[in-house]
Amino acid sequence: MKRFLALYASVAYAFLYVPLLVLGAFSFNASRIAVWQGFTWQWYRNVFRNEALLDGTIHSVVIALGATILATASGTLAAYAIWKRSAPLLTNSLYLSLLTPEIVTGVSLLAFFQWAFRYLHLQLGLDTVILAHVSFCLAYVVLVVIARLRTMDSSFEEAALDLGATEWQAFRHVTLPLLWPGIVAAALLCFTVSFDDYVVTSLVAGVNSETLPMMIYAMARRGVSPEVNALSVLITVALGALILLAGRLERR
Amino acid sequence: MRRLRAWFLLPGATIMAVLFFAPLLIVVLYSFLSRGAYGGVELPWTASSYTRVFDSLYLAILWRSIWVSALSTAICALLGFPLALYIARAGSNRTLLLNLVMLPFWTSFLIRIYAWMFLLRDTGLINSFLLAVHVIRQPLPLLFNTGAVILGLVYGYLPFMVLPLYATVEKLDPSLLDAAADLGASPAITVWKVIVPLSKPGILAGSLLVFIPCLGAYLTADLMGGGKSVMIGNVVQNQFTTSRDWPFGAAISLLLMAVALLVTRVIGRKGEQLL
Amino acid sequence: MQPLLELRGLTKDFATHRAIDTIALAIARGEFFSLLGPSGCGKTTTLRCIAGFETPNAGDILLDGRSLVPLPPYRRNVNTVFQNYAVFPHLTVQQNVAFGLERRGVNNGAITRKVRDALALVELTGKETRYPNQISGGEKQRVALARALVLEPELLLLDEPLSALDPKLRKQMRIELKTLQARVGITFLFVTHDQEEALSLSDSLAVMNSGRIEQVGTPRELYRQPASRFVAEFLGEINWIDQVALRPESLNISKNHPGGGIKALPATVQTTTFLGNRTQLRTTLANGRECVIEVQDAAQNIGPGEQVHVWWRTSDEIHIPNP
Repeated sequence: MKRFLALYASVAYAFLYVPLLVLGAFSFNASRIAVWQGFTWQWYRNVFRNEALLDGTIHSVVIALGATILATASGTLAAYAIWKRSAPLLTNSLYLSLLTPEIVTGVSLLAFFQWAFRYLHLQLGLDTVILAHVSFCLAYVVLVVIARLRTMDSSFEEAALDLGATEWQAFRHVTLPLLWPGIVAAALLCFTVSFDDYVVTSLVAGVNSETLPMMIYAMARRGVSPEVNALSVLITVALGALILLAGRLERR
Repeated sequence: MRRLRAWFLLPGATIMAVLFFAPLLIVVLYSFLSRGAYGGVELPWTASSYTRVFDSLYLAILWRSIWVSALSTAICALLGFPLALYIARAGSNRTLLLNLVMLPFWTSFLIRIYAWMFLLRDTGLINSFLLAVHVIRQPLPLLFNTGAVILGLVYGYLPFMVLPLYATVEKLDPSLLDAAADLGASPAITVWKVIVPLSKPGILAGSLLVFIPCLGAYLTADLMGGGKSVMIGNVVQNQFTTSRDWPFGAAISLLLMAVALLVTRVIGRKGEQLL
Repeated sequence: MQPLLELRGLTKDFATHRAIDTIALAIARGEFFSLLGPSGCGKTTTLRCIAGFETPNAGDILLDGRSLVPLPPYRRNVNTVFQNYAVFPHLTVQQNVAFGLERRGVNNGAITRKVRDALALVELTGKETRYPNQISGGEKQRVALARALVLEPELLLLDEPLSALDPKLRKQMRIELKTLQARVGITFLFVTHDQEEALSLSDSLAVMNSGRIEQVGTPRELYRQPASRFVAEFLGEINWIDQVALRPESLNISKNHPGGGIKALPATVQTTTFLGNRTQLRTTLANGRECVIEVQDAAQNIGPGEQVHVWWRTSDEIHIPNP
């Protein structure tokens, strides 16, 4: 039984990792077709020379940062308020937004922005993408931060009030510092989800706000291209570095 | 306290009202309007989009989406259960092994789909290899079919199944397993008669976490199914972009949401429990 | 003289039950006062109402004659030592003790001086830069005390502060707490379920039972003249013989009848337990009731199964009004 499970687990881990490792390995393949013909940095050079990709990366980072800041800040405050005393209306709304398929979120935001812009004379752009991402990231933040709050002893906050801190001071000087690891985890989740999003983004992005996932999507549809392999490796390494950094922040 | 709490709720509530409920309301309104001559919507009010939803073509696609999702969920449960069991019994390595399951989730979803496309395409690694060693003369049709979509969904959402399964299996009292063995149950019988029934909450939670995103899956079906394996999410996207029939797209969106909510109800978890 | 703290008809209801029921209490300035009772009797709820974490449904809480009820916790000149200490894990010992002073806007020089004095008072000098996870449970307890005392409250509330310590440390902290209170002269309101703690520490105490106060008095009064069967039994072991109650140490034992004019009953010894400074004997009286006796003289050569006489002085009898 134990041997069977161990054998099975190694097959399962292979299933999870082999496709990604193969993808990475072939980013160094000298040939455009999927047959190994020697080592090259060519595709990485191509990626770094491609200005459209650079613009897409900047767009994606700006969007992810904006959405992360807005969603983490408002989600943390909301989680704290819900933890203090239940807010069924908001809680159920967040739950509903979690259950809403991404494509439905996308088209409803598209319809909403189009309708609103008829009166506001604005256009789809980076800002609409940020707002759209905040909309679906909020529930993740509340979920993660509330989980952290539930493990926290409420007597710390009572002690602060007892020692003369107002409610705001108790939140600012005691609860918030203790909540820090949860907030970092929530922000990290927001950032990766926002950075990676294609479905909602492609619907609400303006003409000049193409993001990295939109470009990868277009390239993937066109066919096998070693540049996408190289780009995938770069993104994975960058996200990995971010997770390690966040882990450090969390342990502080 | 009341005042501070109200201020704290304000940003989140505003976001939900403006960026979730208002758009949803617009979709509801649009679903009762007529298709505009150049896209968009116009008067008069009509329920014709809803009668079209129940056209056999779209019901067939909805039904397909449901069974593809159900099958993917079942495969995830079958693949995930032994893995969760193994991790739960791995002693000090448990955290590492669990993180290894979750790690792909932190890389891009799009990249994970692309990785499989790279393997399965006509010009992909598997076909290239088989052609090179002369096992086949024509590339095998590995991509752009329903099987490929299910593979993509299972690969994408397996971590969502393993996590809650692990959480329940890990809490099982090891003495229960010893007791089963002591009473003469073979390891396989112990798993089937003791561990699986006791892990029911984890199986249900995992199934919900996998089924719901599968049902609305757009990207996996689009990239790995090609045009051939259409799911309901692709129909919605198509109505809002290429076909430019917003009222009909809106009606299908609401139908999709209704099915998602219904399934959640059936699996029986309430909002307060999850949050 | 006006009491420092006065509770008038204080009542607190929770969703399913009444936690405290119209209680009245007066605590004098400088007293070490204990609230004693079994868990769930409402003593902690009473404390939380005084601290401001619960709002009473009825009644009033007066400190120095002024009502505390409308004030939030941070405006009450009352501080609390929590059961689990609630020492802030992200702040050093120094920062924990300075926390309340900073909220009051005390200037930095005064903060440094006051914190130094408070830490010296609880013998924590030298641990200023440690974090709570780098000090022991007993030391956390001292930080919690210093943190509250540095604010010079009129009343210090202590919520079972010794219950999280191991038994040996608990006895030591008990003595220190008593000395500390005498030195700082602040009124202590101490909540506990341990009757030994309450009896040894308090100037006066109140025994609570299911939301009500059973009796208030000095430890001696409550032990010697309990007003109810509950108080009598909660404060220590007691024997019910005929219409009176007797503490085990009031009873004596002899093989023969002690003689005329002394109240005595025949009994059979069941077990004898040597407790070091005394010996405990469990006996059965002729009417079948159990009777526990504690005697100083362990040399008495009496073993299980022996027929003996249990005797006592009339002055040691406890008469309870409505047993």
